[in-house]
This record gives sequence, structure tokens and C-alpha cells, in this order.
Amino acid sequence: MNLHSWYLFLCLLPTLTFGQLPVPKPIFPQPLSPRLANYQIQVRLNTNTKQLEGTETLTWRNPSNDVIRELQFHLYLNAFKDNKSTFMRESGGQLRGDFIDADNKEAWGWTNIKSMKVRGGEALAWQFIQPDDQNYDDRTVIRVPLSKPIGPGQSITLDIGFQAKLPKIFARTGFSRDFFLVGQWFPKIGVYEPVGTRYATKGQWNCHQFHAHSEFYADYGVYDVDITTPKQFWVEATGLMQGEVVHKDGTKTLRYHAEDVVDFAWTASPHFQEAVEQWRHVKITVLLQPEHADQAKRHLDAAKAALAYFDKYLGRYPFPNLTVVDPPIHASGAAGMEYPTFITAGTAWKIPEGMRIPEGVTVHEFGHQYFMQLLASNEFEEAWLDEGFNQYYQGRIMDATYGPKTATIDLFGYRMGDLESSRDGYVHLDNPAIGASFGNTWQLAEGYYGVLTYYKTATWLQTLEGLVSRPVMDEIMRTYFDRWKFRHPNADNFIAIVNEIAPKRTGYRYGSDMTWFFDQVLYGDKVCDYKLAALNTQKQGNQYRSTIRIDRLGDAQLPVDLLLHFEDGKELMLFWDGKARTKTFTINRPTEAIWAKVDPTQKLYIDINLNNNSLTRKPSSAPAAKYAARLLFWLQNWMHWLAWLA
Amino acid sequence: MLSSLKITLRSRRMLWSMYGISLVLGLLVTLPLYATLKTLDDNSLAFMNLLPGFDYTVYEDFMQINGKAISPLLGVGRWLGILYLFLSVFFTGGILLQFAQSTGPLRAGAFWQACSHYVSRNLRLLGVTLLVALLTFGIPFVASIILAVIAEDSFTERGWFFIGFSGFLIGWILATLILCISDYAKVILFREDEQSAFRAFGLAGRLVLGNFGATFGRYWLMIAIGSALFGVYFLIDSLIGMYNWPTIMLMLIVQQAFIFSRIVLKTWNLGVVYDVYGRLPKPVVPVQPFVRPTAVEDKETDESVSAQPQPAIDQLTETLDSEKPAEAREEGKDHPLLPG
Repeated sequence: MNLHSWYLFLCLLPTLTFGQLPVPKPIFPQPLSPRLANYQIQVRLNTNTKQLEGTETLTWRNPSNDVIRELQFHLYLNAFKDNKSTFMRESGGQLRGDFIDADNKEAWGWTNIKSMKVRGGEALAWQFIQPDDQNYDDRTVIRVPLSKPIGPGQSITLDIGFQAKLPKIFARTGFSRDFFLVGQWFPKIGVYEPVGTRYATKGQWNCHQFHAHSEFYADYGVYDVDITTPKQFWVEATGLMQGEVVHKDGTKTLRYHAEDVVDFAWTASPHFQEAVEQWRHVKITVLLQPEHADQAKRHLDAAKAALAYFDKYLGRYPFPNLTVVDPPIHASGAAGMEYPTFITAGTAWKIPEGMRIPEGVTVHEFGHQYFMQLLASNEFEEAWLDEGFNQYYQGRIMDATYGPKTATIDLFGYRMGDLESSRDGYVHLDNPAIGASFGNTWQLAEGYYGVLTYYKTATWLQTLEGLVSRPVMDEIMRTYFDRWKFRHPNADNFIAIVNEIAPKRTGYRYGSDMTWFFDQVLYGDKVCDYKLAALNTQKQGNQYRSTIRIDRLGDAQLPVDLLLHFEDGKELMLFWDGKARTKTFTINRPTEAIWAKVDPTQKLYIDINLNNNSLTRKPSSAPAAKYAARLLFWLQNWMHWLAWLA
Repeated sequence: MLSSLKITLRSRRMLWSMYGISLVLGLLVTLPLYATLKTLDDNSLAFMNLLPGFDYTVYEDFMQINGKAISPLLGVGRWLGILYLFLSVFFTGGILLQFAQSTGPLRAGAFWQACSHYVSRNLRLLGVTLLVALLTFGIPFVASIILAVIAEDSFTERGWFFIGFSGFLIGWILATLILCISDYAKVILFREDEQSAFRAFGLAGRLVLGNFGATFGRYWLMIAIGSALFGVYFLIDSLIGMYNWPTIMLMLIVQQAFIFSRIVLKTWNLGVVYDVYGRLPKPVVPVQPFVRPTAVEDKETDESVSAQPQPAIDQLTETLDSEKPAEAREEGKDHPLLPG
């Protein structure tokens, strides 16, 4: 190649490389999901006005045998339109402790559909509806009547023009200074549930309003999204980036392609620092705030631990990438959120290694790739199916990776495991009988959404594991995953699998099904508390007669084991169905019983007081002495600190 | 400083008395706590999990049921701290008298007499110290928080931390300066028989600010020694732990030795202050222009002065002095309240 040819090549190189966006490359050779809702979106972010200008092409297929005469869409950003929306009324303008700056006009958000028409056909009109609460000021759901119905298996393609204003971040999505986390941002079709899907007894739209404590529910699809931002912004999104074009006006457009996902979110900021590692087939990208750059390894290690654990115990993560976004502290409302292949974590500057907050958040949000993305349960109606299951797995992964008693905090001798912190959140409520885990999120006991969906569910899942054993639990969960991945499971589907596997594997120890368990812990508000109330021994001839009494203090009836330890070192395990208010065992042995434990391996993790589960006839004063000595020491120190004032 | 340490270590009875009082006060809470824990553990095996280390589940389950029984004891502990603060104010006069009479141990009677003689002015000084310390700590700290809130949009968390921490650090350093000044004010109240706590504080402030290294430097050396002792304690704690009765008893001894060392350090600090004050030029007191009175008035004034009753501490120290050997009286000569 001569010099002129090189010159020509170099001149054309930018045009060739950056001049056009490539046609998206398929990620999977075969579709993994039904791909009912497929989107092609072009969106431009105006970083000054915080507005989005977009066009959307939706291709939706009717999955039912019904004739569909209307469509329903979510317009989630209208939850932040004013303080009359259902979201704002329910939340009071706050989520997870972050408040909307209500006096600031910039803080509010909205979305408008500018146009909607059938490809090659009619323009469509739409109407706001309120399927949940008849709050006519809520503008988060629309119905779109069709003059030409969609037959079974038929598809429709719509061209939609929309405009949106992002809110100042306080509830997952929006902007904060020059950081953007863009979620729930485009007109999104609801889920049409054919008869037999979940609880549908006839074909119906499932398209709920945006509630304070609800997340989302959507069908799988393919997303091709072109995102235009100022060129100095770093952009990452759901799916894989296909290419980038830089425009003369100082902007750039990035094309993303995602397959078999239920949502699409993206972020933009000029300040990210990137850390990348590969775990088997998954490229993990962590986008950190500059001052959190030293925590890249913590995020990456946590993500890899979660990937490896889920891969081993539940199923394969099929996607080729995972993006972890670390929002700045002024946008902490965007932290700890999950989108397909794209999660937000959350940390603080110089947070000690012993406070595993970034690790816990990363593991939790990655878990939603399974419980939300791969198992697309309805987060409006059954949040426990994603948040609770995920909290349970978070506990397992964190405890396995960082120690069962040190996973969450291990600092200056103060230690807390992950599963035990979940249990603590539920069993130490003033009233653990406050409500069931099951139910529409907006109808759960007020103020207890988090406890009932996350902590209570994680605790009773750990209890289920205790009853059926870890291997059987893993078999149940793997079966649930294999059978329901890329579908919309519900409680009945999960319980059916438990009832299919657990009785056989446990030798029908707990009966022919486990429905009694779910009636109490999932649908009910029963409280579990067994107490070892008495342990007495009397010598009778050459034998010792030991009597052990267990009291059931709570109204939950769960089977329990009883372990007896005798003076000669021998042990005896007994079993009680746990139904009566009290149960007395009498044992005759050559040696006396020294101690006894009800539920010795803590199978019933949901027991609200594990300390009253044992009794010993040879108690030790050492623990009391230890803590009295420590208190004496620190009390004296307290006195001497004050004495320096004198 | 070493001579002050020697005097401190020679004052065994005084040190043991103060240690004994802090131990007795501590035991007022910990013995009932021990009995309460023993009663409330219901002979459960779960509490054995607390021996290898902290167990969150055992602790939280226990506190959920029994927190209301434990909290009042901890509340008593908080009030005992306040009581000990006042006892420390009370001891100040006695400790200073010990350093004034540096050659031998004080008789208990003299010690208690000195304590009671100076307690009211030292209490007033405590009030002044608390007021000034609160302001010097609070103003920079609150100012930094206000600054962080005002500048919220301009900083990231690192910036907020440094603003907040700077305010805290400045406030803390200033508060230690105030405490250092307060120590010199105690010596002025004692040596100069000053009655006004505000005036003594002002004089001490001038002295400390005029001799920063000799005064505040030594004070920080004491803080460093105290911090180092804490480091040693935590090291020993991590090496020994409290896993069974022998290690619990061993650590109890270590803990009490550490507490005793804190009492020594506090006493030593006052001795150093006393010693340094004696070596430094006295702070100049601004005085009003003197107008010579008439001869008659002069005579009356002289009479009124001579008619003043002798302060109790003078009588006390004279008594002490008469019992001292000659060389001891010479050493004690620099103290105005001890007769030369």
C-alpha cells in the first residue's frame, strides 16, 4: 500500500468505523423465551432539560387463543408527575428513605405519548385507566382500543412517539447532577395472561398501576435500543453494545441489543471508572464512582461468587455479560436495583472491609437475574417470589462466601451473618404475626412490605430447607428453575414442585404434601416458638428416669426434633409433630440426662426465640461472667473518660 | 515529667483509693447484671455460643425478650459516670496537695481535707470548662455540618467527609486545648489561692497559649500514652480472648490493670501540670491603675488585711509542715500555701 492509499484509508477510517451503527448480532442461536414483546427504540437524552425524546417500535404477539381488542401499557414515569399519583399518595414522596424534593419543579418527572399508530394502518387513541384503586389522577396505565383485533398467535407492530422528563432520583430512576439512571422510561406493554397463566381463569391484561412498593411485571422480548447522549458521557445498558457513532453536534449514539429479557435500563455519566473481569462466559463490567475505584475488586469478587453459586445450585446464567453500576451517593435512590444483565449496587467512600455492604448489594441484585429476569414472576402481586427467594439466596451466598456469622458485618468483634440478619428482621418484630408474605404489594400490612416479602420469606425458606435438607431444597429449586425459566411462575407452581419432591425425598416424614407449611408461613401469619420447658432426672433403682417437657408457645405447628445428651456421652434423638400445646417425653437410661435441645440443628429458623430451645442441668456461669467483666471494664472507662473533664 | 511520675507512683494509697472507688461504682452495676444474666439465661445452652465470640442471634433473641431488664442497669451505669465525674472534681484538691508536698505520702486526713477545701472552686471550674469546651467543640463541628449541607451539590461523599471530619477534628483539638487549660486553671486555683474559676481559666489560657509546647505538647503526650495503652489492651485482648473461666479471669486482671493505669495517667498528668506551672513564668494579670489612698485609709486597709482569717488550707499545710523533716520543708517552699 503506497502513501496515498494509506492517507485515503486513514481519512475514511472514522467514517467506516464510526459512521454507521451495525446491524445487531444475535446473542443466542435459538430464542430462550417466547419473545412476545419486542422493542426497537431510538432515544435522545437532553442532559440539560433531563428529557428524553424517543420513538419506539413495538412488535407484540398475542400468546393466547383469545381475540385481543385492546392493548394496555405502563407509563411508569407518570408516577412522578405530581403528588396525586398512586405512587406518591402511597409513598408520601419517599422510597427507602430518599425523598422527592417536592418544591423543586425539576425534581418531578412524567412521560407523554406523542403519537401511536399501527404500522401501515390506523392512528390509535388511548385512555388512562386505574385498574387497582380508581385513583383517577393516576396516569401510569393506559388502554389502547384496537379497531382491528389481534387474533390468536397474530402479531401487531406499533410505532410510538414519546417524550419523557426524568425525575430527580429518589426512587430508582432519574437524574442527579450529571448522573443518569434511566429505568421504567419507555411506554411498555403489559402482560396479557392467557387462561391458565398464573391465576387467570380467563384471558386478561395484567397491567397494574405503579405503586409505592411494587416493582414490575413484563413479557420477554428482544430490545434494540439506540441511545444518543453528549459524547463525553459514559453509557452502559441492558444487553450488549453493538456499536457507536459520534455526531458532529457533540453527541454520540450507541446501539444496544438484548435478547430474552423483560426490561431495558441504561445509565449515563461522565465520571465512571471501569473495571472488567471475565467469569467463564460472562464479562463483568463494574462502573464505579472515581472515589470508589479501590472497591472494584470487592464488587467483582461478589459478582463472581454469586455467578458461581447460582450456576452450581440453581442453573446457568445464560447471558454473556453483566454490568454493575455504582451510583454516586447523591443518587443513592438509584442504588440496589435490578434490570436484566444490568444492576446497580451501592457503597460509600472507604467503607471498611468488615462492612460488606457493596458485596451484599451486588449479590442481592445479581440474584434478581434469576428471580425476576429468568423467572419472571409478577412483582406487583407476588413480590415474595422474587425478593424473598432472592433474599434467601443472598443469605446462602454471603454466608458461604464470607462466613455464616460474619457475612454482613465483622468489625471490632461485632459480627452478623446474612441469613441471621434476615431472620432478625422478621422474628424480632414487635408483632411477628403482623401479616402474611403473600398478597398484592400495595395491600400488605402497611409499613411491613420489606419485612414480609424479604425477611419473612427468606426465613421460612431457610426453615423449609431445614425440614427437607439442603440437597432436597436444591433439587426443589433447580426443578423450579428448569421448569419455569423464561415463564411467569406463581405460588401454586412453586408449591406444586415442593409437594412433588419433598415428601418422596423425606420419606413422607411430614406427610404426603407440604401444604400445611405454606398455609402457616406464606398465606398465614402464624408465629413459631418452641421452648424446652423442663428437664428433670430421678434415680429409680439402677436406672435414671429423665422427663423432658417441650412447650409450644406460638400458634405455628411445625415438627421438631429433640436431642438428649446423657452423662455417659450417649445421645438420643426424638421426634415430635409439634402440634399439641405441650409434650412430655420420659426416658429411662442407666445414666442421667445432662442436657436437652429442642430443634438442635435449628431447622426451624423461623422460631422467634432460639435461646429457649435448650436446657442443661450443669449450667455454666462463664458467659455471664464474661459479659459482666466486659461491662465493668467499659463502665470504668466511661467513668475515666468523664473524669478527664474534672 | 519523670519526677511527677515518681511522686504519682509513690502515692499508692491515693491511687488505690481512687481505683477502689471506681471499682465499687462499677460493681454496683455489674454485680446485679451478672446476677440478672444468670437468672435470665434459664440454664440455656445457647449462651455458651457467646464464649468464643459475639453471637448476633443469641444476643438479639436475648435482648428481644430481656432488653427491658438490662436497660435500667445500663442507665444506672450512665449516671454512675456522672457521679464519678464529681468525685474526680472532689479528688483534685487532694491530688494537687500530694504534688505540693512532694517528699512523702500524704496523711489520709490531709488528703480528704484538701479535697473538701477545693471542691467548690473546682466545681465552678468544671462548669466553666464544660461551657467553653462545648462551645469550642460545637461551633466548628456544627459549622462544618452547615457548610456540608450548603455545599451539598458541590461535593461528593469524600468532600462531605473531609468537611465534617475537619470540623470534628478542629473541635476535638480545641476541646483538648480547653481541657489542658482547665488543668492549669486547677493548679492556679490551688497554688495562687484564686477563688474565681473564670479568672483562673483566663490566666491558665494565657499561660498555655504563651507556652504552647511545654503545656499543650505535654498534654498530647499524655493522650498518646493513653492511646498506646488502649492499643496494648486490644492486642492482649485479641491474643487471650475470653473463651473460658481461666481466660476470663486473666482478662479481668488485665482490664483492671488497664483501668489502674488510667488512674495513674490522670494523676500523673495533674502532677506534670503542677510541675510545669512551677517552672514557667507566671501569667501577667492585667490590673486596674492604682490610686494611692489617703494615709488614714491606708492604715484601715492594713488592719482589715491583717484581720482576715487564715485560709483553711494554710492552716492545713502549716500543720503538715510542722510534721515534715527540714529538707522536705525546703522542697515545699515554692508552693505559696506551704509555709517556707
